[in-house]
Amino acid sequence: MSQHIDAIKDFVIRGKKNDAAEAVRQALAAGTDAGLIMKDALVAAMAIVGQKYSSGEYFLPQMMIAARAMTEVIPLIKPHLIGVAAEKKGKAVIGTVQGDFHDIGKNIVRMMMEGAGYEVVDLGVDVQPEKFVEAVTKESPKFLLMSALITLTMESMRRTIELLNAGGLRSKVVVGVGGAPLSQKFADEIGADFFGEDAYVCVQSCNQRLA
Amino acid sequence: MPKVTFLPDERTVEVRAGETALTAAWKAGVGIKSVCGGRGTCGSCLVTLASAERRAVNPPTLLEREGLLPEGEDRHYRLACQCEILGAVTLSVPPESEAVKSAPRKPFTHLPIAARPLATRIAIDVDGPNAPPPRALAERVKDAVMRTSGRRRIALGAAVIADFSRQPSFDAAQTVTATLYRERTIIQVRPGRHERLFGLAIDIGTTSIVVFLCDLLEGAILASRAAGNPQAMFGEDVISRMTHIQKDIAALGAMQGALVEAVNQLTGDMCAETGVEPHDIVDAVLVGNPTMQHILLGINPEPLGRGPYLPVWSEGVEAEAQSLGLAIAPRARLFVFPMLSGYIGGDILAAVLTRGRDFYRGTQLLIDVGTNGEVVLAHDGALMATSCATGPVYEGAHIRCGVRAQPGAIERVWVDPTGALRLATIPDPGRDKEPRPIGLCGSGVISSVAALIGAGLITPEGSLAEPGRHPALRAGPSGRAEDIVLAPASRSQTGRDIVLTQKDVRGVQLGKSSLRSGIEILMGVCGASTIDRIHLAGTFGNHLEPEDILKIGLVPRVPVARIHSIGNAAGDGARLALFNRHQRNRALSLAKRMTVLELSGRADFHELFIAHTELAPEPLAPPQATRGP
Repeated sequence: MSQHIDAIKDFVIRGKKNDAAEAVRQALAAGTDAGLIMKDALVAAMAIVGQKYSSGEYFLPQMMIAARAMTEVIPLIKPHLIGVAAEKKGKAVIGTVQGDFHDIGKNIVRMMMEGAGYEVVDLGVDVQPEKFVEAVTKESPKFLLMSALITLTMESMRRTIELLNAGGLRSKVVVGVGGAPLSQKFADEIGADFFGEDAYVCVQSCNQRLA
Repeated sequence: MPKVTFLPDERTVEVRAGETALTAAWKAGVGIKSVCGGRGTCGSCLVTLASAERRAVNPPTLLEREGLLPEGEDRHYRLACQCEILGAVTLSVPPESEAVKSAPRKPFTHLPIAARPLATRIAIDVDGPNAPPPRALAERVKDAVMRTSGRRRIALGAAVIADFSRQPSFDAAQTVTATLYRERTIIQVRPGRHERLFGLAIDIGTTSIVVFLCDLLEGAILASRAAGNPQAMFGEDVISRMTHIQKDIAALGAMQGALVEAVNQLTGDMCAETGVEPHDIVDAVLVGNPTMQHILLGINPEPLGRGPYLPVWSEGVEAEAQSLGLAIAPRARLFVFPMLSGYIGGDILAAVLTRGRDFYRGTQLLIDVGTNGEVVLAHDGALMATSCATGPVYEGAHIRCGVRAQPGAIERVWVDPTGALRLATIPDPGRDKEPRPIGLCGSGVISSVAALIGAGLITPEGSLAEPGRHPALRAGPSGRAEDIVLAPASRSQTGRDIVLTQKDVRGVQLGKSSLRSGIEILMGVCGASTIDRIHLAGTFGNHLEPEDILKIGLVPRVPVARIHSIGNAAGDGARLALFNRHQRNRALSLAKRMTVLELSGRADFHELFIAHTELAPEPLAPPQATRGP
């Protein structure tokens, strides 16, 4: 049983999507619990990929092919997930802020969040503060994650938080911010709940706040 | 009000208690490098103080403690932007933190051009007040100009006559010299005969300013001067400067004023050197990136910094030099080049202008790498430009030991046959001996990455090799190699190890991929499959080895001999438009002809970008056309 799990995990970490898919089929045929594959192989693999990225061992292409391997095998597992195992950890709304069209960092966070078992609603790029607030109202997510790559667009995060405050929504959602020009100081200053220095830290921060 | 003294400049300024050392430096006019514009994130604004004086400032902030401040025995290191002044203190600015003051090494290339200036001068005999019929002096001047030049439509503004009316016996019959602009507007009337005509070509870069004093009749450069852009005190890059303007609109006036003052200073120096009178400087042409052009014109540049990156003003401008504060002939004109987008400015247009009509033959690329990477592709007679967010790594910024291209900067790294790392630094013009290294400039970063990949210390994926592989590789807490020591503290000028870190390499990869992906998309959109020639503009190109940029895949594969540096092409183009009216018209028509491709938000960018992060001529894992399974 555990060698199936280990094999899937290893293939996903190395980004071997065909091998990973084959290993998943074998594991399911051998009667391995789908929930276990999800948790101990896929989620665990993406956590390691995240660590490797954080430490500098992996870079974007390695991270991306691993994430692709994961998205490849999820449809194989999904039909077998039942009951509790099918439940997502929680919902996150994500987007790049107004005036900013950078989506690579935001996409990586989205994939890492999905890999960690979250349901992610991606609002895309150039998202106005009002749109974020609208999504928080409509989706009632646990997390609101905002990304900015330009110093000048960071201010839009502050406006979003102000609007959440004004709408009485601020206490209902955990706000995480990230992007190259940001700092912990800025996150504190605008009243965000956490600063995700990279995708891995972001997922970790969300996990911590679930407990 | 505590006093702060800065060394080695020995400038003292009074500040309010609690103001930062960086603000104090601005007030004192001391240039301290500030890559992030004072947010405490880049670590470039290092200053030191005697440990005995450490109570005259606040204790190190969290940001400083988390960052990597060097430890000194009797010196206390601080980030100027985090260091709040509480009492009288003396701060030293180490050489690696000094904002650039010096001129670029290769300020211009001489491009021969026929002199056909826009300003012309004619000597005229003006009638006295008693000559019939009785007319105002202005009418008599206009008449004389029409009579002498044979032209019927001549414009003469009150301001020009106002200037002339301050001359002694201006109303008498006399010979005067009238200066005409585009043959129809009188911009100056001066007593006596003056034949020579002078002009300025001004190139405003984010980092440095270059001004050329030119003889308009000869089409020749009389003198040139360069200086650091004084706006550096508001941040090294344009975004930092925009952030200041966003916070306080008064910063716009301060930046405009500082720029004009610097240009006037350089012009004054050249006039003193050549004996040219400022009154004989009757035309000027200015090029810069869009932010610099906006600031010079007093236009808020903020919209340039965020999507959809549109300029507030885009057309070419013929302004009165005096209205912008330029200390040349009062009614002289200043032509500011047109801009095409938030990033494609007059500087790029001027660089294209220098390429002449040959540029359209075949498929050619013009690349200008600064904080941003601008690329122009000429293919089948069409011109398309784009701008790539290369990040400032190629200027040596956001690199742990990064410095600008200045004496002591490592510009080339290689691995000798014994496996030892060797390096060359930019020489100090005043000295024979090669200076000891102070850090890596942009070309040094590229050169070291290319050399270290060749020697196997960095993989093409951009990971540092196992720490055991080479003594220069140093392991971090995780056991993985964290950095590569290029020069140990004992051999550096800074007393610190000069290293290339894993994070630095990642930055190079992001910048490289951004530029290369932009080039690939441009080529795709224009239907170009191969490149005939690559022109590298700006200081970046001057110091680069073409092999190195091919090795890491910064540009598509071409024979090495087809890559050439064209130096400060922006300044060269500005001179062409100053010397020759057809060239100025060509600049205007180029602006209409060139289209701009916006990369952000393109669906194909993502995959290309990921694939091209690899440091190889072509990606090992080619980009996938579609996403997902």
